[in-house]
Amino acid sequence: MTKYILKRCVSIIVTLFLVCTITFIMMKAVPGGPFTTEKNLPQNVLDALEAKYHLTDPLWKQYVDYVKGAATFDFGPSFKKDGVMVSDMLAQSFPVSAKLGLVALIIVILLGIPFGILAALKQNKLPDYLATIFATLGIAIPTFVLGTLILYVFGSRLGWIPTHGLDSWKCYIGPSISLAGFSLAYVLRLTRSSMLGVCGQDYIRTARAKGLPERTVIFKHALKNALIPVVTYIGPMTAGIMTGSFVTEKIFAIPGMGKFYVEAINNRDYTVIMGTTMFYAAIAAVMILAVDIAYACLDPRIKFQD
Amino acid sequence: MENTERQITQKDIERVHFTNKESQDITRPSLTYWQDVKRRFLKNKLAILGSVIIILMVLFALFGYLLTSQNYYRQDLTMTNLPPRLECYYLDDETLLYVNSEYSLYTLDNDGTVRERLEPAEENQMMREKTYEVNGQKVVLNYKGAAQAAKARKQGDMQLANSIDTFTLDIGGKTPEMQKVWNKTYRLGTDYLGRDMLARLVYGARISILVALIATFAQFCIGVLYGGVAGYLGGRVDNIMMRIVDIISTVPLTLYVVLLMVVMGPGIKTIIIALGSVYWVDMARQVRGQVLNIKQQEFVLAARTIGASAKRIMLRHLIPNSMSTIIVTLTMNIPSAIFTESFLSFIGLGISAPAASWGTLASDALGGLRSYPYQLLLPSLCICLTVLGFNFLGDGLRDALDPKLRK
Amino acid sequence: MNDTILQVNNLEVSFFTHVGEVRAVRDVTFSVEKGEILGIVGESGSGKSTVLLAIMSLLQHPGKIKAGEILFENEDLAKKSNREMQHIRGRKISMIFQDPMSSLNPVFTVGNQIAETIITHEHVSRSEANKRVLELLELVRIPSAKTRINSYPHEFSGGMRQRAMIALALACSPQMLLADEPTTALDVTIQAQMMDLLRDIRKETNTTIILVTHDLGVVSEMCDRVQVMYGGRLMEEAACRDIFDKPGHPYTKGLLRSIPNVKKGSRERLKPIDGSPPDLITPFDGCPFAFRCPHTMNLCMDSCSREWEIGEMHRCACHLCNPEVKALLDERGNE
Repeated sequence: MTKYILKRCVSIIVTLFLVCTITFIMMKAVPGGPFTTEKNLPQNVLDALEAKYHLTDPLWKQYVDYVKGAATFDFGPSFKKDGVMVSDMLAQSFPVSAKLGLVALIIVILLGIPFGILAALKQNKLPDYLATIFATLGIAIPTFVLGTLILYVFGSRLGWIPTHGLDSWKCYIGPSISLAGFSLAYVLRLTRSSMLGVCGQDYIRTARAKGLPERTVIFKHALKNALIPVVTYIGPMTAGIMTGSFVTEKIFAIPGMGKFYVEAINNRDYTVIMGTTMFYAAIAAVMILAVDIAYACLDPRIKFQD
Repeated sequence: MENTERQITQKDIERVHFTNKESQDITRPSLTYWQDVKRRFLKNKLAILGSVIIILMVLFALFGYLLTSQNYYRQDLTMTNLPPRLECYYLDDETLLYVNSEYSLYTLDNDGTVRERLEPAEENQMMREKTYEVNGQKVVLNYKGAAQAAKARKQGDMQLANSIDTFTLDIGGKTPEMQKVWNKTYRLGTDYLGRDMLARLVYGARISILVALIATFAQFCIGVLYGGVAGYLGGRVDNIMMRIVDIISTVPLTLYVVLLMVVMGPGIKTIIIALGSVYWVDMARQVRGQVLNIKQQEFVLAARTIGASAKRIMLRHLIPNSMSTIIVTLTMNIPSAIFTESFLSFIGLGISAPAASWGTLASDALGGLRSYPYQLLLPSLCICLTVLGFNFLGDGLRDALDPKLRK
Repeated sequence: MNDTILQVNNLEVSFFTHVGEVRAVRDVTFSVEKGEILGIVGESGSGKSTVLLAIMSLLQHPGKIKAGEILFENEDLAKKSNREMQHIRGRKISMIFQDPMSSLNPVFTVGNQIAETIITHEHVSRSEANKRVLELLELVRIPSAKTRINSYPHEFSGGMRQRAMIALALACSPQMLLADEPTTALDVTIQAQMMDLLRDIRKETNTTIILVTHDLGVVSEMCDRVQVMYGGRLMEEAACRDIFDKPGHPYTKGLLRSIPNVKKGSRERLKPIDGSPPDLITPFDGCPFAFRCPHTMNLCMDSCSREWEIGEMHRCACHLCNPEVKALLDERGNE
């Protein structure tokens, strides 16, 4: 188990290193980017960049400095906003996005899994049909469409929820539902099909043959097996919620990382793009590690692979 | 214990002879694999519905321009934000009047053909009143209500805000009769630059579907090759190749695409390159798994025993037998390509003006969402329907091609 | 018939599928004596496993008991609710399944899965249950049971898993053990060990065993009495020796001809039964074996024979055993 986790950690560090290198190469390749010497920028920004990245140094040294900086969460100054450090921007906006993302994640888990189980247990009955319809539509609606529809209907038309900001709990409703929507539908579908698959397995028949109460059969024997594919989906789901936050935060005007990221993309604020990308990659990697550990706890067979 | 009481006769004990064939053939006739696939697919109503949706969308993209006389890039700043359904007022039998949300007056033919935007003869800013001369009649437009409604909205009282009439129309001292008509010039309305929505949707359909198809094809080529090679060679090479895939997919793939787009700049070509070069990972995994599985089966061993070359084994045995997995993965990847393209366009990294995809149309609509929701709804509907169609088709194909894969 | 533990009367089981009703078990009647090993033989799809599942009320949707009664200790199991059955399953009757690879839950330890049964039925503490599990694992001869108790099923070999399944089934000392092809998925050598184990268990605990198999070798070694099933119906029923020595039903005869005889080094050719198993969807009132039987008469196409007593405790459902038919056939033969 420890060996397995260590292995995963090493692979994640390699990944982050790789992403770091890719961003470096890409930013080198951008005409007018932060690592090219010919550009028209205010002198103070140029000075800050020079102080940070030593653009006159040889390439390999620039690269080493860059990697060192990334390892210590130091991504240098913003390319467009005067005197703002990228790491400060991240430190400010990350908690906002994290809170929202967490609420979405909780919605997905608390609604998706139980309703998926319900649908599987009531197969071909009303709850199942409703859940299936919901899931089918849910995975066909992009996050930005869901977000704008919620904003329009419940925000502008009905006025039930605020249309911007994150000042009260009410503000969380719109953005977190639009963030959760796709994943919720997907998890519902996944839980349902996984549960159905597991319920047809021989060991469930064995559990019934032992005379266990139906409750134990479903919630102990079937559920633990059915959750394995659902848990593996939490990794991709985090990525989905992350990219979903780009549009959701734009739509609901929430001062989170996603909004800054999109702004940076539109302004071509290269250092912010680089730093935020690295940060996102790190979060995703850590989530995948967490999922791997949870997976190993659920499925004893995993320890014997690799 | 049926019929025990019956008298048994000589006829009863007469021997019955079956030919050998009869006793062999009492089971139902068997179907070939593809016949069976076809039967299962055609029986799946949702899969048929999905195919119909996709065909309709493709027809719309190809021939939709026949439905409108406008083109997708011509701007007409006097014709901005006209909805598909207009609330009009009768001026006389021939002429309708329409007031847009900026309180400009338009004249229309009574069949819904938009004539022109009128210039007020007189405007009183204080009283919020515009006076027009139309066909010799005096029309007074008062939009005092708008300010009250805006105030109510600001205070959060949506019910009040929605109940206030934002303007009143007065023709020769009388309030005219209201009549809803369909917009005949711009059947689906116009956008914020006065461009025809229908023409832009058709254009968007072309771009979105084209981008999705080409990008998926690129994923297909890279993924099948990569996964095929890894699965075929196996062992160390496979291990290293799959480690690379693992490392790539640790980071959300969208981030790579965003980075690529930032470096290469927006545009159709770059979006196709970015999508095609990043999203092959899933395909590679699927194909590798399938190839590994097939490789161990006897017929491949047999081919190898009789000295078939690696290329031949790959082309004749491994690829054809992985086809069902490939087709299903391919169909399932198209919706995600459509999603990603529209997502990129929505955050400003996709198709640049005047070209448009469904994503850019939705993004453009965001500013005027409150007043012109149709500008968002139409492209969104197109995206959702297409994705739904491909999802249905993918599910149907999966169930039809491999019943064991059924989820 | 003084010590009958199970009496099945006119059992009918059907699967209501989308292509139609599949009549898996038709009009099956039999009884089981306390402490005996009853073998049920038949090919795949003959309904033998379905009978066991029906006894346990474990038929899965769309399967249903359509008619008949299953009397266990004078109570009809077919009429019991699921909740009532829970107290019987695992405690009074337990079942061993065919594939030990998939019959144990992969995410729980073997010890946990066995202890769970004991705790559910006997409300003992976990440590008490664990002590019992250890004894059980030793009873089924799992080596180093102390460490194995905390192993997961995937760490066991096939034979070991089946031993664990048997331990699981014996956990609450049931009166009756239903074994559904317990050796089919195992190697031949392991099969023999498993059979020894089951025989010893019967000797030690006097548990009644119903053994479903398609392996006549297993039957001849293990069983006191044998029933032959075909196409959902009971064809013949006799003491084990009688089935092999004087089979009454043409199907039984066919079955016996199709097993190799190694003993005498005989060079006799094996005779397979022509044709394939019956299609249970198409309604057919005649004998299910009629299409493959070498003696089919018009009568066989119209109706299925009742069971005729053809020896001591030897019953056979074939029109050829009907004295009237016999008489008529003799008459014809004499002509």
